[in-house]
Amino acid sequence: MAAVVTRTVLDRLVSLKESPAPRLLLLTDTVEVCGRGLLYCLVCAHLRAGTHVLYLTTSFNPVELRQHIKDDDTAGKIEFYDGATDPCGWDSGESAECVTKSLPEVMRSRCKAGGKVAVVVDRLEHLMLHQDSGQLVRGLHTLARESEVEQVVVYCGRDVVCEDMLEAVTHLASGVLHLRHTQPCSCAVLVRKTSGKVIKAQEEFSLTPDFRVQGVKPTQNTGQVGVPADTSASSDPTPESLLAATTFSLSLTDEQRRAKNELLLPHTRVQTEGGQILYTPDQEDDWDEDDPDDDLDI
Amino acid sequence: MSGVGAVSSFHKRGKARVVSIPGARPSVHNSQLLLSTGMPSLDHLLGGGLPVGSILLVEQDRHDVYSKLFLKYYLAEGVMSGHMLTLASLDESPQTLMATLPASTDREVDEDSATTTDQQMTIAWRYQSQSAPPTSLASANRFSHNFDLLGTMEEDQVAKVDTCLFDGSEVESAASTGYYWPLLQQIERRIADGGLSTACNKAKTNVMRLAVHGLASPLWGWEFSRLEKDHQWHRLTTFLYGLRALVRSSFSVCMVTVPSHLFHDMALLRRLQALADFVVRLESFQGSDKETNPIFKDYHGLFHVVKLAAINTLVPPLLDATDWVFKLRRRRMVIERLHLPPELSETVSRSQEDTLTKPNTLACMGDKLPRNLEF
Repeated sequence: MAAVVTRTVLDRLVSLKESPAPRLLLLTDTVEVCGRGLLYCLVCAHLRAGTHVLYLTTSFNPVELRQHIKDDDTAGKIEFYDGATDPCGWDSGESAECVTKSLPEVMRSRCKAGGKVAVVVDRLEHLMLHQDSGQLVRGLHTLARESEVEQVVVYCGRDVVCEDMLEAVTHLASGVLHLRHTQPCSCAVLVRKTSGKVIKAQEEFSLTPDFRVQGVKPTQNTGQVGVPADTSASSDPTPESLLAATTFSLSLTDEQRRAKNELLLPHTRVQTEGGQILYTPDQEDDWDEDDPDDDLDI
Repeated sequence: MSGVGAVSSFHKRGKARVVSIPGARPSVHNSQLLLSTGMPSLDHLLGGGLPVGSILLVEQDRHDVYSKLFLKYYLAEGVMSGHMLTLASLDESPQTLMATLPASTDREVDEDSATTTDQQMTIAWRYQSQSAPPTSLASANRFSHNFDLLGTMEEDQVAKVDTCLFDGSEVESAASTGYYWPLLQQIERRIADGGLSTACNKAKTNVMRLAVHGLASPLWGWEFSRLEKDHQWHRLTTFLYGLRALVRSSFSVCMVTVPSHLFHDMALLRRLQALADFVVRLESFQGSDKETNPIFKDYHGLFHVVKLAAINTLVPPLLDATDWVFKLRRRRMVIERLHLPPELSETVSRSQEDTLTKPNTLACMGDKLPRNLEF
């Protein structure tokens, strides 16, 4: 389905113009390409729109994240759930509640406080280490259905998370962003609307330093992952490239071409005289036109 | 073959039982009581309709777009016929499903025809003393209704029907028992409350339509994955087995949709198929390479008939085609026969001829070969 509307799918998705916004959005990357930039884009968009962001982090501690995501001059504020500093309770003696308890339990008190919130789960695969996968999936689903929750963004690496989990979350998610390892950066977008329409697109994009997406356009040749241009040229030989490779000359100079065109070949002389039909009648031929059937023996 | 007009001299003892269940009709093949699925084309494929006491398993398409429509048709038909409804879904809120049923287009038509006949009565004075034609009776005995996907059914019409919704929120012990067993208990209670069990001697005036949406999805349990084996499947298969037993022994039908594309182990799907009476699979073209194939440009997906039940007969109803497709029009969804045009173009046949004749000519020509080559 070509996404040649005024705005592209990714643009609408990241700037929260897609209405209604997908309640559960899955963002995946791989080892080769990092999706953190796009994740911060989504977070910043929510903050600018005045939505409070509940950020559950398992890989960086909140101090570090605050250097990237600034909420000083935005309407919405960000709130961190620290699952990175001491998830297993080796220092405090008690494992971090935000990773062991189910997501709705962790977030419910904050959700009920009023106002729209967006939930970000930074690294799903880390949560899986602490929770039963069924409970985790159910938690995501319940959270996304709460009326106060604008959007739940789940971030994970699709090459490190277990395949069943990825399929389960993809099945439940209404929006999926798979970041692809291409040059320039691109991603596969899938949006399932409530009306039943499914939008699929492959789009290139670039990020600005203040975490906005710009220059989104549909990817031209899908499926080619960073193929260098010169290899594709050599694989498809043209007459010119073949001529250059030979050791003898196959081309003509102007003088030679003129001489060749002026040469009168034997058969061309016959053609210029015009044609005539030569016919020698046979003895058996019947030339009597009155009765064409007189040779019939009835 | 016995004559069409021949009447058997054997009669059942006692008086013939007249079934007066709205929206039901006996099958012409095997006297089974049939209910409509809401889609005439699907009814036709299933041999006239869904027999009371059977389970229809629908394997969902990848994004659950079209299978949801099948479910809504089924429920809307139940609402129009005034059946009892029980809907269970964890993926989608059952309230939303019930609120977005397709609108019925029958009622307006009936009212229109009634008013026109009234007007005709006043003109045709000779028939004034005659009773009015029984339009109401005909509509009450209607087997299936027409639905319009553009509109949604009015709320008060849906509210009139005895409905029970299950979304898992009342289940406190979900961690230990899962959702399967509580749902089964709830269905059993519904059947007992409605007096629908065949063991109950009361005359049946209604049937129950059960609908389970997205069974065995990740929210129900982890059965679909490759890590879980029989000890987990057991809950799901037990549920379906119990459901079948309940449906068989009561005046109810059931439609179950499963996201079979998630299943890693096909054995699980085979078990579910074995437990259901009718199995159909939807394969939508959304995003697949078949979408671009010109053969399929008018359609939205393939419709596979996996299993048809043979109830009271030796063989299931025979279908006159093997390839079926479904298509979503603006107002309704239909299942059609897919006709693949035969490959009769010249290029294809010639290439086949060449491959066949080439070795022959070479072998037959033998000594002629040098003469034909002119230098």
